[in-house]
Amino acid sequence: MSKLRPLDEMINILIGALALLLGVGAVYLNWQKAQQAELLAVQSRQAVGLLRQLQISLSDAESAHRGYLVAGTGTYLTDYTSAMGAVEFRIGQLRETAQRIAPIGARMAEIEKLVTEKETEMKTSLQAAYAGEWEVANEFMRQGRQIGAVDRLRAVVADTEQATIAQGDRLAIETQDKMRWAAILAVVACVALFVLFAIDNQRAAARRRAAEHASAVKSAFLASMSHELRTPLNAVIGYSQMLQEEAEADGRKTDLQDLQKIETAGKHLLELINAILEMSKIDAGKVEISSTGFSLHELLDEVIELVRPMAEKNGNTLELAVAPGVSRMHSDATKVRQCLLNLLSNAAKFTQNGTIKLGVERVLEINRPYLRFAVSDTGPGIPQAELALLFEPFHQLESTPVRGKGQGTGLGLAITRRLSRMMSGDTFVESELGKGTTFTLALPEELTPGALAAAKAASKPDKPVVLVIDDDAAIHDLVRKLLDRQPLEVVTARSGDEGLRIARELKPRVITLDIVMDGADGWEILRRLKNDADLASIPVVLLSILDAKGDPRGFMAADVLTKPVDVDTLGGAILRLAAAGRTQSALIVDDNEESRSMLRKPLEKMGWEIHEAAGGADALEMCAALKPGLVLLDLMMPEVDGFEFLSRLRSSESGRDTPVLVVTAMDLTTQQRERLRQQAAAVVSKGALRGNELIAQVLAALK
Amino acid sequence: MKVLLVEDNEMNRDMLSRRLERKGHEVLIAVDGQEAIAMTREHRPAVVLMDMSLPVLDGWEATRRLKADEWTRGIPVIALTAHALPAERDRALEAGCVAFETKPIDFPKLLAVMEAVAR
Repeated sequence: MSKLRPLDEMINILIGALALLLGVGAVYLNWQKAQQAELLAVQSRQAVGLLRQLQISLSDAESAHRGYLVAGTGTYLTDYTSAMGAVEFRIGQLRETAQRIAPIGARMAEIEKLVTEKETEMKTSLQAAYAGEWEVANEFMRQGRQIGAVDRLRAVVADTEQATIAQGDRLAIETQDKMRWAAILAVVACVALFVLFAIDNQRAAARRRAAEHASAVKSAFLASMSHELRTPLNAVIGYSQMLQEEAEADGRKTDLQDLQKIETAGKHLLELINAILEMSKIDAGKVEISSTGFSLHELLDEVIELVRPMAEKNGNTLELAVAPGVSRMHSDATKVRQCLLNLLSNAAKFTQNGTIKLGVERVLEINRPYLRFAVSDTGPGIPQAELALLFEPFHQLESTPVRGKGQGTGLGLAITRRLSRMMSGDTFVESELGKGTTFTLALPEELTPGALAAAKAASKPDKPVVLVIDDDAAIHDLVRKLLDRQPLEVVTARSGDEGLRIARELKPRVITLDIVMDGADGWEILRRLKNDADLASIPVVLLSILDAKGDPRGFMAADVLTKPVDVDTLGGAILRLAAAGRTQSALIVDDNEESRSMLRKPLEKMGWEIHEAAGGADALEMCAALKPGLVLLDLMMPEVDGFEFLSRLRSSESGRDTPVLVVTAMDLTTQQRERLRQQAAAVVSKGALRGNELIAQVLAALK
Repeated sequence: MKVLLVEDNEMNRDMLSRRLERKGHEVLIAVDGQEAIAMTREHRPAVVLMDMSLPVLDGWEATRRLKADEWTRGIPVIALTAHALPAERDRALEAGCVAFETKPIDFPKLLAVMEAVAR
């Protein structure tokens, strides 16, 4: 099940947050509007109140006016004046509200006009009456009634009232509606957010459960397979042993021999099963490394005694040499024992009438104390070409004339190396044909939890993957053969979809892609690879039966090759791409200019920045200044030679971890090789760098 | 000598008992921990060969109980097991086993150990 990418999660969160924000924002905005609307409504009603006051005051003025005309008493005049004052006041107030309340603003002019008309009429008649011209006054009053300003004012006021109230109400209702929608939006947003959250949680929980389940299934499988396979085998071994006893007692010699063969075969099968199951466990990450303190002397004595019968059976002498300073170790005793037994039994198996020596010494490497267990024998030795293959699972030595005991499982060394790495150490081999072989197990004297954790993470086989997407199985085989000796894992896919799925899961270092496949368009697959953020940076080598070099779509690929493909070209392309991404720059150190340029050319093809140094001293300076990702080092140089350079480089802070590939024409002694092996990633001889060999070595060195 | 073989797997039982009998030993059989305890108490063998993983009552518990009972305490128990982990060995020894053999059984060695522990 694929993971929910952090990007997806981010997007989910963003969407949720946005929705929530929108909802809340909408509610807030409408809240504001609602407040405003309410304010407006209140003001409207106040305005309406003002209008009524105006009418009342005007009416009071009218009564006072009539009263004076009828009675002629001064008090009426006073009443009239104060009433008109109130009218003025109300008009003033209304003018203010007219700015905010539209219906009033619209009619303000008319209202004022009517009020002024009425006022003028009353003033004139009052003046006339005051002057004693009663007839004139009455005449004005009669005219005024005809004009009917007051009625008209009343109508206008009523109209204004209605309009104002209507407006206020309408606004209120509108706002309420909007509020309702906003509230719904907000609720929906919250619910959506919650649902998203819940779904995510579920998915995460499901993923966790699936992973746990898968792990449990693996464990159960390994455990049950272990038991299921061993039980019948034990029966085979047991019965054959029993029958051997009976045959011996009865003097049946042939039966005895036949039964012996059955027993041997059964035991061998058991060994094989145990080894395979152990490998499976290691690969599945199910092997736990514990760390306790124990006495090395005890363990070494035990191991020697266990191997002695085997060794002596082949006429060998067994020696143990423990250096002073070696006494205790803090690591996984069982695993150490297992590794030593494996190395010693190998030595015993393959050596006849010779000497097998187990030498243990304590050394300091990068200020940490390490224990080096060297199992050396005076056996036939192993050809250089096979040394690299020794630790591969199921590799069996092709060329050893071994008498007596049969072949091993082919897994012993692979397991030993894996275990040694899980214990933060490693296993090395050195051999000289005709002289003998030495396997060295180097382990930290003290295994700390931190180192353990780091080693555990590193022990899972995480060789970079080369993914071959092709419906033709022949291409799968071809690439497998090509990369057989390289530190690369070849994974194959028969279809574009399968290829995409595997690519997403394993994130290969390089992908080879067939353009013409049954039922899938290679270009489409290429496009999809490049469109996927996670996979876009993986270089793709296109293989096509058509000449696709000219196709513009090819720009998306790192390289385009035409089938039938030249194996060296394909191998070179894959190796180069696998190595290219690992670093940006390299330093070539050699006093011979020709040698330097020979190395330079293939390296430049990888797009690296190449620097050159003619001597050790310059090289050290350049290393410190440029910090190259890889150093190719010649050994024979005047003044500061390769050995000196390496020593100094390794003791410097910045150069301690720089990968170094030694390229030399020198014949090296075992000691020299050993020394170099400690400090450099690999040692290659100049003559052996044909074809893709250099790139392959560079890739191995950079791992 | 009289040997009590406690083993639930038929084939293993058959193999081991026949071989022991041919060497002249009298072999008694029990197929689970419960039976093992009963048989030991009744027949008091010179040595008990106890497979550790048994039904009803496992080998460890059966051994513990035998060692707890005065009547059977002195009878040596040799543990037979398919697992070779040091933890297993410690467990067996803790339960009271005097020796520990892993399958496939090294028969001559087993005989030697039996001779050594039986009184």
